[in-house]
Amino acid sequence: MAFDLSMPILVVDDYQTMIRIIRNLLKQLGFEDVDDASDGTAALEKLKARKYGLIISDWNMEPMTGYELLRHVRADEKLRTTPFIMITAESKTENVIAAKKAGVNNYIVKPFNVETLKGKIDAVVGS
Amino acid sequence: MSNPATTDKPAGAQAAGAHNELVTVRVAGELLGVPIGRVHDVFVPNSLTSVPLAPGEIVGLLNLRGRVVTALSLRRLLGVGSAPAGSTQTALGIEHVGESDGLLVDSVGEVMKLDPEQRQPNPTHMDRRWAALSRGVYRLDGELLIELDVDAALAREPSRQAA
Repeated sequence: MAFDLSMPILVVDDYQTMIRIIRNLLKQLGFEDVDDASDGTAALEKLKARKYGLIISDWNMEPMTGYELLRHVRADEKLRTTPFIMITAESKTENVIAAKKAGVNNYIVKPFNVETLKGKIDAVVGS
Repeated sequence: MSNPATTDKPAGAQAAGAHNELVTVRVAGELLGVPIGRVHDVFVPNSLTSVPLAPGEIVGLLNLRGRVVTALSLRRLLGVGSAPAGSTQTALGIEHVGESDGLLVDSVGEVMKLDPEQRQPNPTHMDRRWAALSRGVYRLDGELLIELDVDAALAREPSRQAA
């Protein structure tokens, strides 16, 4: 594994407990520069203000879903190359197909663990 | 008694390890906390496969592309029976001795930062099943929070089945 541990990461989820858990997992992996947003709209505001090395987003959020956020990011000239990992529920495999078509770099199917997260980050931004 | 829960602060605002971060859950109306360092996901389990002759606390298995997650009922571990029919249970994803477990609870709440020095021994009148899975309690305003002993809860000990 060869991560740039100083890389800023944006975690997007409308469930604050899950944000805290993912932040903790990222901290276990050595990432310290982690921001969060509570939905796609809030994430876009943060993405306008700062360049992130990775977006980790839940699919199921309101008012703007992770899928809609992904489409916005891929349509934006300045953001379109930002690596994007989508988290989706076990039963929603159709989400994975839609996310792939929309340009997601990788996806995580719940339930996941720190090894899964590490592997996905490595696959997307590892060197 | 003062509430030991601290005001939430941005990450890095205080020394790491200075507080005990607990993911709060409800089981049979009681409030419990699970150390956040042991929790890697919160999910609603679907398509559980039952396990014939398994210990009573094992609700079933989730098979995820070869990765097996064992779903255990915290209700059954605590001796308070199964969840009411029709209710949706939520699972905390927890790693234990190299295996993935899903600990089923009635609901998952917020993450609380608590001062570990405020943790007190179990009350003497606590049910022995609860006491066996408790690392101690925090007295919040009007409520007791029981810190779950994750290793004790997930230990696969035959003797526990007879308890």
